[in-house]
Amino acid sequence: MIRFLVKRVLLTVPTFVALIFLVFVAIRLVPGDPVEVRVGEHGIAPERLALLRHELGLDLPVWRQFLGYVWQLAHGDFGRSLSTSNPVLGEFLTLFPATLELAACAMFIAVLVGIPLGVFAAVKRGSVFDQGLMGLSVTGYSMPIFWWGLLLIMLLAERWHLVPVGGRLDLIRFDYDAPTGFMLIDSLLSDEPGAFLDALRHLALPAFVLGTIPLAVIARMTRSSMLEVLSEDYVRTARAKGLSPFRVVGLHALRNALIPVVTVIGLQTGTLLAGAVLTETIFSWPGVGKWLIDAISRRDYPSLQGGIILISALVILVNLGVDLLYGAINPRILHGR
Amino acid sequence: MSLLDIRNLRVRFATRGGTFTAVDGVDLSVDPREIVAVVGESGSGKSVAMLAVMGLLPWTATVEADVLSFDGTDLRALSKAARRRIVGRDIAMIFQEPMTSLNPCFTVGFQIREMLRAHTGLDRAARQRRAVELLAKVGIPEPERRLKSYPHQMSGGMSQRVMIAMAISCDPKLLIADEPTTALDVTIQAQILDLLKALQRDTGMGLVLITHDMGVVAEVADRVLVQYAGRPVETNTAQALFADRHHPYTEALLAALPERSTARRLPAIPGVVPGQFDRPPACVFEPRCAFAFRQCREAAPTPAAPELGRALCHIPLVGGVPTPVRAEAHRPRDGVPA
Repeated sequence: MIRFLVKRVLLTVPTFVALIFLVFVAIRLVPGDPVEVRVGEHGIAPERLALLRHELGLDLPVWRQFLGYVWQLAHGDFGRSLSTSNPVLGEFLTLFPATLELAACAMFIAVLVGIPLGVFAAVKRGSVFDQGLMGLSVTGYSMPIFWWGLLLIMLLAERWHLVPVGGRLDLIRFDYDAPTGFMLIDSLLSDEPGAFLDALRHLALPAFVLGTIPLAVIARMTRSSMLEVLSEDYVRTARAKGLSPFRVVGLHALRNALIPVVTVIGLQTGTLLAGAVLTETIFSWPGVGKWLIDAISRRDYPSLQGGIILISALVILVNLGVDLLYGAINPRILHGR
Repeated sequence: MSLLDIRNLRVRFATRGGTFTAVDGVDLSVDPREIVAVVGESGSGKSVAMLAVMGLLPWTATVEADVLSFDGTDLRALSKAARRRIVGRDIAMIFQEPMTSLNPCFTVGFQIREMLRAHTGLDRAARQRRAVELLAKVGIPEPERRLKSYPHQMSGGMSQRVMIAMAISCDPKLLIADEPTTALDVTIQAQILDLLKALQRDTGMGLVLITHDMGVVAEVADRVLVQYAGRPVETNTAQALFADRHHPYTEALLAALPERSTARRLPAIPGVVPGQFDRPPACVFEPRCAFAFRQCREAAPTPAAPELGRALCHIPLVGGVPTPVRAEAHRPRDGVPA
């Protein structure tokens, strides 16, 4: 078990090196550097431009910039933002709880709704429910997030006033400290009546929009995985034991069907964080997604690089966790290694 | 009164190509303390008939019968929940593939204790004691340790022993064993068969043994039902059956036993069991029968007298020779021994 863990962790090192390199190069392929963007259309004297570039180290060859950045990272230093001069790590950590809260709730909805729907569709295969659900899931999967989000804002927020249009909290009504950065937790800690409900109302729509694609994928995956498992001999054995259908399907079949579903959940975390960028922009959600978009338009190299690397690290970690989960779900996998 | 009483059982499957009758008019009764063998090739509907008793057929299947009763209870009249209380507790079943019949995600102990939890009022400690006792009973060494094993850590023979332990955990009145030794090594086959026989003798339960192996039948069965293409073609006591076969199919099955062969080539029944689309219109065995004549292609046979094993044949064999008792125009096929 420990050997397996060490092996998996060591395997992530080359992934990280490749990742840093890709991010570093890709950003520099975008036309215009931070200085040009800041100077604007009017331009300044070429000598002044050269001086500014020199100050930021942008006049060095790219490979030297890269080595310098890796050296810096190796010392745990993500650099400072070019637009605010604050440490990148600090800015990221301040905004990240908002994104994590949104993404976690989105995944929570996707798993909690997607798995039961998939199981039910598999049990009732070929029925109207099954066909309807699979049709919906294709729609959900191919729905562009920004459009889906705008659509729901128009309907639920603008027309029916069920939920707020954006933001994390009604800042006019509530004002309290946010020690954890997670609005749901902070609102509970604040003792302000109604704060938790208000936070929940703000969170509901963006979380649902962000969770739509993972929900569709998880439902489909659960269904096909369950269909396969339901025809296995051990499911027949479970039924021959006279167990209730709920136990046969929900325990004996589902536990075996979960492996591919958990894999998909891990992979969807990446999609989710990418989707968070769009969702946060639409719902003016003050998280790292919106922060990254701003960093792109300012060509804020350190913020962009740092943000992407930190998010990727999270995705890699989640998938490592998924690998460990396999063994917990199905012991045969652990012993096979 | 017989334990299991089946009369005129029919099982139909709705398929894309229309209705397929997998079991057609099977009669079977099993008494307590009796071992009944159901014999036939793959595709003859043996398993389907028994799965119908267990209520384990998929929803595409329709089960009909004149009588389908267990221990005096009409199984057809029971609600699903009431049936689940009988299935597993009073009628248990073991299957052909022990390695895939146990759930890979749970320990052997969990799977046995789960059965006890569903059907008995034993508490946690008692369930554990009973599980240990059961594993010891089916001949698994170090039962306490083995209960913590996962199915993939065990051999096929060991898995089948676990399946048997699970099946007998609630002291069933009837055990249905669906080709329990087919997937196992020859040496293990005999052990499992001996175990089943010993358990049956000790507990007095009825045992239905589905098999295609006449050798197994000779070793354990009290009575035999031979099934072909979903139909019961012959039924008799094991003693009478091995003394004289009345249906050409039974005769051919027995002749196909390697140890009975005297020729250089192993004897075999030509062709395969007809499927959904090539069922012969009259006698289902006619295309493969060595004794078939014109009437066999024109009229469906009716069962013969009980002393002729109720053979579903126009010309039941006696001493390996057809008796043209009911054949009006008996003209043997060319080259067929008369």
